[in-house]
Amino acid sequence: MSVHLPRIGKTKTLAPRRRLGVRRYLKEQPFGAVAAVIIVVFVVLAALAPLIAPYSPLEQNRGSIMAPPGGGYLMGTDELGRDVLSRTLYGARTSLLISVATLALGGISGLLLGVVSGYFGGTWVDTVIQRVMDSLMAVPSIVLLLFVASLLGPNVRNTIFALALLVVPAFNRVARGEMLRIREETYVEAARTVGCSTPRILFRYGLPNMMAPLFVVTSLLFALVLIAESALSFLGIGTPPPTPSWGRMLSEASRQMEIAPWMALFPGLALSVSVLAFNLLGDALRDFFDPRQRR
Amino acid sequence: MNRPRRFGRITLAVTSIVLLTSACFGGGTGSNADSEGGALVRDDGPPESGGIFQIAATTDTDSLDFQREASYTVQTAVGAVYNRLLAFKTGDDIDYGTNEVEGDLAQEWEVSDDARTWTVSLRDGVTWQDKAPVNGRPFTADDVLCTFDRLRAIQGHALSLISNVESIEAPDDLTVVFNLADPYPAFGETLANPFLAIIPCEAKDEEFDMAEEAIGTGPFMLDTWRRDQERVYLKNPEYFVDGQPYLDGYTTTIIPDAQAQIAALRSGKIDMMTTLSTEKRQVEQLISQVDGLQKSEETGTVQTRVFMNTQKAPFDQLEVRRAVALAIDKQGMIDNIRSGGTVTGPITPSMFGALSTEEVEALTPYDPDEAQRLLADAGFPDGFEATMTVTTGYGETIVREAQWVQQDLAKVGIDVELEVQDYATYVGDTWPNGKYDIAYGLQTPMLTADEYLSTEYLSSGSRNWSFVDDPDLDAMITEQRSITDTAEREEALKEIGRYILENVATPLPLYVYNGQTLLSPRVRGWNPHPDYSTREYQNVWLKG
Repeated sequence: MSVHLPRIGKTKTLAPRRRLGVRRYLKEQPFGAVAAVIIVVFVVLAALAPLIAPYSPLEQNRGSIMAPPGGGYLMGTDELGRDVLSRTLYGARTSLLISVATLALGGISGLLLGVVSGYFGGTWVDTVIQRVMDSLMAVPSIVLLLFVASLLGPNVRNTIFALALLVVPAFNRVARGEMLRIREETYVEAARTVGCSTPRILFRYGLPNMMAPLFVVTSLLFALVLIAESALSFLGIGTPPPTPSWGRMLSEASRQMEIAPWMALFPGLALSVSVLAFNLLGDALRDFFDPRQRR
Repeated sequence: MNRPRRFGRITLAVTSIVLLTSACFGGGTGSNADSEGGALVRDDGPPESGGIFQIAATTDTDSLDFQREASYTVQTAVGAVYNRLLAFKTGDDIDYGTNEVEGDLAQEWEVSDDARTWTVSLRDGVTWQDKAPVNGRPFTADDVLCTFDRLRAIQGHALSLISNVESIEAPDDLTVVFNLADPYPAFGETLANPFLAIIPCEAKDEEFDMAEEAIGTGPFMLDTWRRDQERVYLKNPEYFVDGQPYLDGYTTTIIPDAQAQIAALRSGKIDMMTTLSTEKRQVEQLISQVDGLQKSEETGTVQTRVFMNTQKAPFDQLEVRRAVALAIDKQGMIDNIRSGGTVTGPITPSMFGALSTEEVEALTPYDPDEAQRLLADAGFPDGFEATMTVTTGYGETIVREAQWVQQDLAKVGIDVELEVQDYATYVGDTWPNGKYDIAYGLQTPMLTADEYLSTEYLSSGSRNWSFVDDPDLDAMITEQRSITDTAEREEALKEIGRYILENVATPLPLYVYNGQTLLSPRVRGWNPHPDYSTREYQNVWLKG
């Protein structure tokens, strides 16, 4: 277009929109607040693991195999004399990195597919994408994970790929639903009228208005991915040894439960608490963003 | 109710559940307390007949055809169903793993002066098990001929054991004559190899499928086989040893998980558990908790090894392989991961012709500095990267040991990434086809020095999966077979051992670890042999 129009495109939306009320959030959602704090702690610990871990997670202190907590090892040692505390911290790092990578990869893919699918809802584009998503969702998650991970081989990169496949349909569904709603809004019609290109509409009008449900689903899926990654490692096809991963630590610990229960206790607790926190956060965010619950 | 009170009640409920379930650990089965501190009960009166012996196994076998399959799992499956001509002795007063042989299907045997003609007289009155299509007919020398014919026809892996046999004749129904190309005084040990068990002619003629069915002359008959679940064996009423087997039968249940096996042992559901991968501390705790549990400690015969593929750089260089040999702390592994063991050369220490542990340590000491120097000489002053393959099929302890080795190699600059494979892929494809750079695993115990050397270190060996190709070594191995003087032969075997450690260094033997078998309080007469053939089950009886 050669005509220069006023900068309507700058206005993100005309629909009412709340500001990001952190203080209000903390007041309204106490569980969510606790969850958010736990998550912040988790991320900080994971990020600072190389600085705060007392030992290297791979270092085998061969004289102190399966030592109970105490002495030089706050959480005891595992069956190769590696410090459980250090491995738990690095395990947080592994889990965090894998989960973030998974959600980035799967999230962006799912989002793109969902937004396109929703905007063109009813046409063949939508139908094709949705049927593909349906077939992906039809396969039970563990089976899908096992199949992909076994086919490609057990390493971190393939684990991320397999887990990403798992989250794509969820993002797709949310994005599509939101997009179907948004495209009926007047401001989108207006944008179309003045000649905005489709990509511009999708990204400048569509995406910013679906942030709230996306936050919720991201948080809930984070929990799911944590568990799925642990499940894969537990079964022996996720992160390969000796890289610390909570799932793998639990697998190794399960064989020594009677004589060294601390090997399972600490990674197990870490995993449970993290998953709980993300679930609570997701619930809290959903309640927070729900207009029917406003004050 | 408001939140704090509800929270308090939930806490109370959870705490009581935890306390109650903690009482589930500990406590024993409290049956007869004959065994003291886990020692095997012996001399407990005359053997009693009856009872079903319950065994747990970690994996099932794919096929019952031991002429085709080389894995130990097939031997544990059908070893008690078949007999060999000769067999290794087992018994209360006999050394574990002895290479002394006695007649199994053979009544007696004669060796010519030049050790090239072996005349075996078969037992009279032996019949095959009463199962179609063999139907309990008498065993004859023809069956022996059929066995070796089939082995040749299918090019079975055990063929290398009889590479020296020129011809086999059966002058009459109860005599078999083996004519060897070169003199071999230890041929009796070859005939005692469980992979040379005798099959009926019906098997050779494919009247039944040896992969699915097992019909032999042995003490037990295979009654049912539910793949990956259980194998049920019943006593052979027509067995040629009077009064034996004592057991009415035995059942092997497949329980892959070690913890599940332990639970089954505790509750009395199984009578025997071998500890391919059970932690020593776990065993000690079990003994203290379960009344009457017996522990049989067997000196090691299974070698742990590092396999380096000479076809893949940089493992094609001897200095690199020697560096790996010097980088690994073998004694440390024995002390910290296993319940006991011995550092070994290519031939297991308890075997004729083996190098002493001291000599092995002198040839391949734990010396990381020297290892780094060797690497620098080979052109890798900063080390290099590689992928080490390991399988879960031998149990978690092997994976643990692989991580130990990984750490040891990292200290000299060799960064290996572990690739964990399932057993089927590993033993069926990766290992035999050389699809690995370096691997860590076990070596099924061979029964003679010659077997180790001919199958694995000979360039034409049927298990030369490291692709060793050393003409001098080939010559040495072939020559030692025909030495008739025992002392001279022993020295020749030791020379080969030294040569391998210094000039070949793959497969690289680390150590043999002691095995432990846990038995329920009622088991008696337990004297195993490392050949996995389970022939000794014919001597086992259950008390009470």
